[in-house]
Amino acid sequence: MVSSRRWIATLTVLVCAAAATLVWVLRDPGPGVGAAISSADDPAVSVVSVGVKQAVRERTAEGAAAAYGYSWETLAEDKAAARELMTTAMQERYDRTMAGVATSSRRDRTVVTAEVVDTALVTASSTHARVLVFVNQRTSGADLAEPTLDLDRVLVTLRREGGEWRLSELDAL
Amino acid sequence: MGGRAGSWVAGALAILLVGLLVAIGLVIASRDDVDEALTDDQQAAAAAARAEALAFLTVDHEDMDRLVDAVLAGATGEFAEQYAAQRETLTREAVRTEATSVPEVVALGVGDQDEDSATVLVAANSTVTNTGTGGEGQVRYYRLRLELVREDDRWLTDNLQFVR
Repeated sequence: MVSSRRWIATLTVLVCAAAATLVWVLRDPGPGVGAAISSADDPAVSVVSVGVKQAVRERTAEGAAAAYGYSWETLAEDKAAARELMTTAMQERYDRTMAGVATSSRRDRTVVTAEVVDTALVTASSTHARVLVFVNQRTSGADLAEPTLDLDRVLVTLRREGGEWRLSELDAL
Repeated sequence: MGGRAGSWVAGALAILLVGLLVAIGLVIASRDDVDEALTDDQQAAAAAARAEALAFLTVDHEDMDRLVDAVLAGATGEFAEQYAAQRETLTREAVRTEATSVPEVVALGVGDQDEDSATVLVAANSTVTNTGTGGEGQVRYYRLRLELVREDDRWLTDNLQFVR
């Protein structure tokens, strides 16, 4: 009798503790979520592995160079190459941005080269990542007396889809 | 309560407990396997770089000695030597132009990193006033690259450059 009651009391305490723990682990979203994370010293950042860090930095360099550079002569190919590295939602935003470029770039013979100077990881889970990238954007064209140089800072968000890292957001700071 | 009823309740509780433990295990297993050591190292280097970048970009012509000390507190090697050597020049120029600069870090990431060294990129904005801005604050946009080294478990900056 007494031992059965003691068992029930002990088990009840353990069940309550386990239930509380389950609620706690379910509410903790885990790494790689925070949309507002912009710095690698944020307490919510994660670095899932050296391999992922390297992969997302490389993909960011490729993707930013493609997204921020184009030539009036090869615009269709340049856009296709940039879109290939983006998620569907990012492709739609990119298309809207580039819609106005076609006419004016042909008229002005615009050539924009985007040189990625450096990349650095903010946070990376196995499915989401954010990378800070410095881009030098040189623009030349008939409408410019001389080429312009922009020293850009871009926060790039990436998502892994079907095993491939793709750019899902480009936030010029 | 009879002995039999008691053992039924105990049995049901035990099954419930096992179910909850399995659920907790499944939730945790579905999570990313984050490299905690790597994450901690990155956060530590990043925090040190933020402090150093902010110290470096802060100017107050009325308080230059303390500000130069703050930069040197996070510096080492050649960068520390060069910066220390410029103390007088920096102070004189800040006083002459009545300069102030209030910086903020907009974004910060960590590049290559190993046990004892790390490269950190910082995007920072600073609101600057001096005799040339006519009392109005002007926002400057910066790109910095800091090279840090680990000395006695502290991350110190041994190179800091504007990225062109």
